[in-house]
Amino acid sequence: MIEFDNVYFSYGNGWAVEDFNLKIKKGEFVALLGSNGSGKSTVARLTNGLFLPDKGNIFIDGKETSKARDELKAKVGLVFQNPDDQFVGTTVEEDIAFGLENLAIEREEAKRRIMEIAELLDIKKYLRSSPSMLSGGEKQKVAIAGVLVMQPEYLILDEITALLDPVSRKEIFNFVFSIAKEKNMGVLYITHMSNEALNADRVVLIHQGKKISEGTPQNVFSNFSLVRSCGVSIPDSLYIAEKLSEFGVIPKREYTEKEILEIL
Amino acid sequence: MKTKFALGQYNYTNSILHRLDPRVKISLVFTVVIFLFFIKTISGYLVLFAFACMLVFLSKNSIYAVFRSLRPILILLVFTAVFQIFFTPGTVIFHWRFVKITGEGLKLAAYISIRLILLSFFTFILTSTTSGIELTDGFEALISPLKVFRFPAEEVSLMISISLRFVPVLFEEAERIMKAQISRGAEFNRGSLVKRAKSFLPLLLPLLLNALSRADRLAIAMESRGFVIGKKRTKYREMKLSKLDYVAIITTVFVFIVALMVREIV
Amino acid sequence: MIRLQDVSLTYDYGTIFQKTAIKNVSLFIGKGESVSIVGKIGSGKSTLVQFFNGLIKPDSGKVFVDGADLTSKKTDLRLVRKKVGLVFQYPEEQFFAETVFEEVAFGPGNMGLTGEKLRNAVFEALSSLGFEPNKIINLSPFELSGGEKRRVAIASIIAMNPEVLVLDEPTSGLDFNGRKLLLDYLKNQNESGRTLVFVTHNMDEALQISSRIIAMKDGEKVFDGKSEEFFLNESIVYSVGLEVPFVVKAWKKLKKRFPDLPFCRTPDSLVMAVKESVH
Repeated sequence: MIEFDNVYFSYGNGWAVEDFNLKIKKGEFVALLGSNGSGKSTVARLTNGLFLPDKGNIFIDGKETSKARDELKAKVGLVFQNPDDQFVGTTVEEDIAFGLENLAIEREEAKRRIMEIAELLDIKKYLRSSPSMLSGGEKQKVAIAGVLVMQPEYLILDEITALLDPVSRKEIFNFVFSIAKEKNMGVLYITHMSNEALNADRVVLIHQGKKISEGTPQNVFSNFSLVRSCGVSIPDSLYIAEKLSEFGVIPKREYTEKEILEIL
Repeated sequence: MKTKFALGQYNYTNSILHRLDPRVKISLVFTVVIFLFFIKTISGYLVLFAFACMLVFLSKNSIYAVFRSLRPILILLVFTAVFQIFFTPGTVIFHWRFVKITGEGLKLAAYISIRLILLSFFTFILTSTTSGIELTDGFEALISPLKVFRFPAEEVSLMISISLRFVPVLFEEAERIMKAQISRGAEFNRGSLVKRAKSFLPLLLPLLLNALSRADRLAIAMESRGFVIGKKRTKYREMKLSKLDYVAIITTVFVFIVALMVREIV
Repeated sequence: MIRLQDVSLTYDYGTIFQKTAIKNVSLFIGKGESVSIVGKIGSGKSTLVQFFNGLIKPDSGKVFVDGADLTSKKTDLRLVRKKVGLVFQYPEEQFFAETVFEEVAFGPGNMGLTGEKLRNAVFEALSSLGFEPNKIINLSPFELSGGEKRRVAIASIIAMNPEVLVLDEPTSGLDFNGRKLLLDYLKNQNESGRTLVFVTHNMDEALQISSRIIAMKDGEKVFDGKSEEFFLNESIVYSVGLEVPFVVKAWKKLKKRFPDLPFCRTPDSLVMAVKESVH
């Protein structure tokens, strides 16, 4: 379990993260939703020990992030927003190997793991390609592969779809969702897009470094004014469903996007 | 927009030379270059020239590409040759007004020109058959003994390979910024030298800032994947010596011996 | 205003990297229109707009701006760039000046404005984007917040007072409020007479802002017409790799129940329209 215990962090100018509490169990897919500057990226960097909290503690499976910082990097995999700025190798294969080199894994074992992941992500055909030949979505797949190959138990995904087009976004999201469930990984999916948060087990709303709301997507989004005051939009489907049920056009209850369209 | 940018002269033709270990190639070319200065006979140079031609043929490069590689040194070549021809003291064979040409001058000019041309050929053969990353690996391996003196060979090599990887990215970025500034009416090739230099600020500053923030993000990504300077790492890319490499070494040594021993023909 | 005549462009012609970026595209954008050019990343939409201000020249075909042939050497591209203002994606990455004033003045300054006229251009542009000019002109552009940077970057193009404003994904990276403000601003600009060309893959925004859609796929134009026609045609939208906004899907269903329902472009307007029909 990832556990944030009354965490505070500052870059030197006020609290970027303030009195933050969060628990993520293995197998859970939690969305961290907030606008720019809300502190969500800071939370990401605190989770794998890149930053250490100024006050409070962060525990990964019981161990504090300030201790065992090296093994933490394998246990908690962090994928970032910009596909270009994560690519280290001159070919895809080399790049995926980077994490394994850092873990001092021998070449035989490294090769085996890379082939396995390449198969899983359907990127075998790109292994010899250079990064400049790939599209944004493909580069993100490689970035994810580079992290998965280290066999993490938790995945922190920091706005990984923000720079992609809608089709690639869906593809990447569905992929990480299914892989996480399959391998029973605990996932913190960070985004500013409400639609993506709809699919999570749990949504945490963050604003100005503080946790504002937490619950199922339906629960969190039901408070329109609160969500909007955090600079986040209400998913169109939920908004329309809510208003239509007010006018009696459809019965009032919880809907998924599909259900709304069916009932109309 | 994906612009493919080919750095240097690497030309992938899958020749025998491409399959040689980069450490061997670098060492051999280095040795040949030094050896060039020990040859004192024309026939010796002819042997080396024949060797270079054979290598060019093996590398599957076009003759056109080979001669094009001489372009950068052409000016130097002509300048040095002319200098040697007209200003070397010795037995005068041609005299017109104040212009003197000596036999020694002609000979020296010939030797220097041949050396420069051969130097250029061998370097071209190396760079056209060895990719940037192989060159980096080769150099790293060859200078790694310096690690004894605390020289950060591994880190330097990593820096070079990352830089190579980012060259196309930064070129695209530069193009993007240039277009944005041109759209605001900027012009990069007009006016006095001072004006031109100033006009590059809207291109260089954003590019620099962009490169710096990329470097920052990359460092964080690398750290998140467990990279720690100084910590023991394994190396995924491997360089293995094969029979071909031994053949290359023996052939080169053989060529040296022949070049040294061949009698003065001219 | 802007006319493309059978324009084509190929990258790296004759090498193994050869790629056709734009294939035989013809189009006409008239004064005062609001057009969204949509497509996936790599569809050619961002390349297409670079023809509009002469940044790139086609391999074949012609480009005309107000009748001037951009492929001819006689055309003064500077004048074209004054008429057609191009705002690239993440425009704040172009910043290089010490003060906001200098940054915004760069464009109009290059166009020949000086002194009082230049100052007015800068001030007007900054106010139109919601700033109090005196409070911001001496600040460093690098010290502003993300949303402010975006608005200053756009002001730097507005200050040139272009007749046509072309924006490539202007809302990327902005949060909900920032997007809303920017889209409202652009709608106002169009209503005041500025021709608007909006390049995007965000269908919700294209729906809101434009009456006309040009859809690109693999360098070719596959649709050019009214935006309702585009969004209501599911197969075309999917064929270019994009998605139909939920608002449109819901509208289609609701139209069956409420036949008089007008076409709605936002969740709010849809909800309002249904409320009207119910009562």
